[in-house]
Amino acid sequence: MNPFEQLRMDDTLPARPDPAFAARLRRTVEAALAPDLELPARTAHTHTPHTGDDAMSQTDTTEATTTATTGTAAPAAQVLTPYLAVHDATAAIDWYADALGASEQVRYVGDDGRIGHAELAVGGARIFLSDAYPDIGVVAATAHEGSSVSLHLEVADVDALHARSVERGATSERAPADQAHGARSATIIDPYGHRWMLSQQIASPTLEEIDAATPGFTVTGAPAAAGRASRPIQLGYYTIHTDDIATAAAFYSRLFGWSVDPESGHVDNCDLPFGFENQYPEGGYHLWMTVDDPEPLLARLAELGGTVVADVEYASGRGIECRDDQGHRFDLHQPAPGYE
Amino acid sequence: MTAAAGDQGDVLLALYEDALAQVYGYLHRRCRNRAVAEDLTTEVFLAAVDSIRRRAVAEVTIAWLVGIARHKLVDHWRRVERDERNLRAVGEDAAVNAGTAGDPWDAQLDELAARDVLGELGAHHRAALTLRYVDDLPVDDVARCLGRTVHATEALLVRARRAFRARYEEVAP
Repeated sequence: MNPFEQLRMDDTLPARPDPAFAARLRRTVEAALAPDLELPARTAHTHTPHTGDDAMSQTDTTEATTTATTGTAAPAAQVLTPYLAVHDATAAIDWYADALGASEQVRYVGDDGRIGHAELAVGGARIFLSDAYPDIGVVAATAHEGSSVSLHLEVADVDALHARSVERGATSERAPADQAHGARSATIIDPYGHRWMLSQQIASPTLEEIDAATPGFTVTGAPAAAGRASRPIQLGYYTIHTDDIATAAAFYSRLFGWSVDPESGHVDNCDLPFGFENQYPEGGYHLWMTVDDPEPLLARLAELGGTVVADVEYASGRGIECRDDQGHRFDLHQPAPGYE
Repeated sequence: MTAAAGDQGDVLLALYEDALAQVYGYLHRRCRNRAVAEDLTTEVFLAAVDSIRRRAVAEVTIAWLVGIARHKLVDHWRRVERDERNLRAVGEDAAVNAGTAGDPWDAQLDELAARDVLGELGAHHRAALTLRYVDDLPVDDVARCLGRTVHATEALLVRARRAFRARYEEVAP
């Protein structure tokens, strides 16, 4: 017999991997198989009022997140992290992975078997978790009546996540419903006593609209925080005056290599969005601030001593020529669909 | 995740205990190092999940997982070989060629000594002999796993057998 044939190995023998390794790998596989918890494109920071059916008030201060995040991705940097104490941390980590798509990042297991610290990524956020340590005042949520802190999680599909959580043993405190503040939200109590508010942004009402739709509460806030306007208004476009766009196109394409659309004057091969115009006889350059909804801004403009000079509908959207309180020009642009 | 992928994920979890014993056993018997076997086992299962999520697998079976394990083992040896390449004694191949090459070799191998010798060989020789003899794969399949031509694989196997024999005859009882 060829001696090398004696190297053949019997692979029917079962092997016994270390049980701790086996358990760890199973959790890893389960987390990797968990459905992606897609985050919605991040909308402006919203104020959730006290309402009858929405007993908790939450001022959402989470970090802006603009990309969909999988359950296995490392969470974004975050300065405030909920730290949950639970009565069975091992089971709880499994549950959060199963029901909410959380993935375990770190685990410290004490010699007494309790989990002293664990870190989970859920959606784009991070939570810490440990077993209860009553001797130092860290008690499980189930040790109390009710829960005085809620975890408000923005999700892409509140109905699906609510249904899955309840199927996996959470208590539904409030079924998914559209709220006046622009979110469709639901509330669950997980099997470890923690209250989660699952929230899916479906609209961006102004504070005035929220106030009107919320009888029994008076809703106020910083004016700049109204609706989507909590992000500062941005310069969206600038224009360069010319008498004849085709002539300017020929000149600047040769001088700078700009690609100018002869119809609209738009320059489509530069980093900053700009174009030529031949509308304004006084010439010069104009700065266009992009606004989703100009009306609240126009009211505020009048309060501050500014004026509206012209209000014109172009193919690219509504253009509003304004003067500030010193008489200098700026323009607002409410983009038409396709010109955002 | 799609419903089909979810179902295959459930199959994977249902198979997990048996599959783990087979995959880990396959890897541990060949690399004889618990930490390496655990790392590679983890890679196997994560690669399996990835394939399931991409709906790139027809059927989730233990045989399929062991096939992934074989590729992960080859990748591992390839990494080791890269690390070894600079360290490997230049004399190794010379010593092999100067040895008893070509003589018919008829020996009853001592299993422990043989496994030790296999573990001491350079990763390229170890990979070739493991796939060809320990796994009993045809040369074509060994070539596919190693990403070499059949001709190059046969040449590699010749050198690997010489290296094995030379070392075995030094240490064997």
